[in-house]
Amino acid sequence: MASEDCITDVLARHRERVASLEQLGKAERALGEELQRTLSAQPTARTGLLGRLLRGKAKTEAPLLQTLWERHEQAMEKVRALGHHVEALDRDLALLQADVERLGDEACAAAHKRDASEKALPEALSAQARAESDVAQTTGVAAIEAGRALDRAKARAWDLRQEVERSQAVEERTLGLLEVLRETRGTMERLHASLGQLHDAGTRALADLERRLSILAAGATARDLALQTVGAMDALRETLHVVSNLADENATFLDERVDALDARMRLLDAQSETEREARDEVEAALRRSTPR
Amino acid sequence: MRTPLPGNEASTWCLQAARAVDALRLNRQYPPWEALRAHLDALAVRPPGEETLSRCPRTGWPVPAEWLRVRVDHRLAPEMLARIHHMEKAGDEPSRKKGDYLRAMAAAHPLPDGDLHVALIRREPDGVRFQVVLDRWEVGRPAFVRWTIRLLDRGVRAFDADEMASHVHESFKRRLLALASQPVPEALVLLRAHDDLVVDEMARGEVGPVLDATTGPVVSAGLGRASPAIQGVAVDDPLQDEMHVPGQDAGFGYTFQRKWAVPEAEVAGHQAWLRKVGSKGMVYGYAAVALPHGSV
Repeated sequence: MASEDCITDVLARHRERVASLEQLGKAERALGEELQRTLSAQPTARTGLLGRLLRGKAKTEAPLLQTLWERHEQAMEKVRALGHHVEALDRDLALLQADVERLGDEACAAAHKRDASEKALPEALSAQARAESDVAQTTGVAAIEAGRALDRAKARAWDLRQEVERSQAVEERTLGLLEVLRETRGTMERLHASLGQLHDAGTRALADLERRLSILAAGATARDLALQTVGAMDALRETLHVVSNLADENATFLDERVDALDARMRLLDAQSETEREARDEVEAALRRSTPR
Repeated sequence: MRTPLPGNEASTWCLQAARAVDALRLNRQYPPWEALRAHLDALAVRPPGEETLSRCPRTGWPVPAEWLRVRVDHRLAPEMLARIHHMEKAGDEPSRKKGDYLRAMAAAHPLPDGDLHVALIRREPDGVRFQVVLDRWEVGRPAFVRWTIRLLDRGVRAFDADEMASHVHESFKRRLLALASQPVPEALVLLRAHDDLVVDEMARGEVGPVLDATTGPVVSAGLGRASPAIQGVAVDDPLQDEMHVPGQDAGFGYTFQRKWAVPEAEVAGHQAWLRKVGSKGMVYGYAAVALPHGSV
């Protein structure tokens, strides 16, 4: 893949990545708010859940179990969403790393090319100067041959200058994009750790609740089991509370970072646009001034 | 405790259970089998990284979390597909697998919580005779049950569809839900305790529990009917060791039959077992599902 194609490919993917992180930020914000609403709507132990459980007659058991499973399903939706996001971040980090490596290769290749062209340029310019002097000092066949040598020397110098400019542009653009990618990696790594913790805590709370609910489903309606179930719901509520707060923090963090990344990407686009325009102008000017 | 099934076996088990549900030839007194089958088909699509399938020790069905997962992932799939779109496009194999799973979940038709239908049979001089059908997809147990209750409600004089629906929803549904986990005879007795209600017939059709055979699941379906029109008690259920049956003075009779869907190769063996335990339950065979190519 040519350097420009590689950069365009990585840039397009990264735009989608940043857009999806922005969506994740919105989802986290919504999750935080929704959990706050859910938590405030949870029945308190004494007036709601516990009250109903402690009445403990068989005929209240079926709807109660259903209510508990409904709560479980709501919590499960949040926990699974976290799990999916952690997994997606995992894969995205692997792809980002591959992009970072590809861009690193591109930057190195461009730097080597620039370096080689820069080193070869003085020699080409000396050859051009020698040819110019020959043209001035010779006549007849020798002058015509000197003219041909001068044309070749100028073309060589032009090619080398072009190569230096092209490589420099690729190098700068690649390094700019690399910087954005590295910054995004930092953001994603932090997010991965934070969501991973929430997912683990949520999964543990859900597993605990599931275990207790399966005992309840087996027909036990004893008072201590009721208390245990309330305990599990309390633990789940506590976990959801932590999830809610951290989700809110993540949303704020993502808002800031995504805005910054977006600005950097726009700058990168603007830079490449300006560079391209400048290069076109230089090329046109050189074409006009170079004798053919 | 049943051993959790590894990935390939888990998919096969779910597909076979779906075929068994199909083979049971369930009539309208059972919960709609198409819905249950569709959910089982969705369960056969295992989430990458969570291929193992645990089953409930009491009912033999997959554990509640499995049923709920399909419902939850069905709701989450669109957002997550958008999230991984650029990774799939980049040719990332794990993301493609995840995408395939999420697309299957997006297209799935998970079971709802339940459904309640009320239909007028006829007006009587002393009330309204109607039929209530209550489907309960109780994934928490898990239990998949349809209650069909025919009764005369003396509390309703003039029939109005909306009024009837609200009447049933308000005063009756909670009672029904509370009774729904009871065996039919107990439920009928409890329901009759309501002065305004005369119960003609109560039927409870349940798909499950599920047993294990050598080559696949054995899905059973039981239908219990209680009615003053039924004489005596006739219970044919090898899965129930003991149950309370109505006495002669209960004012109603009770019948229960259980039928079976068994892998075709094991039909004869299952029939022999039923004969041995004195049951006349119907046995249907279903075709085995081949394991995916290359699987162990």
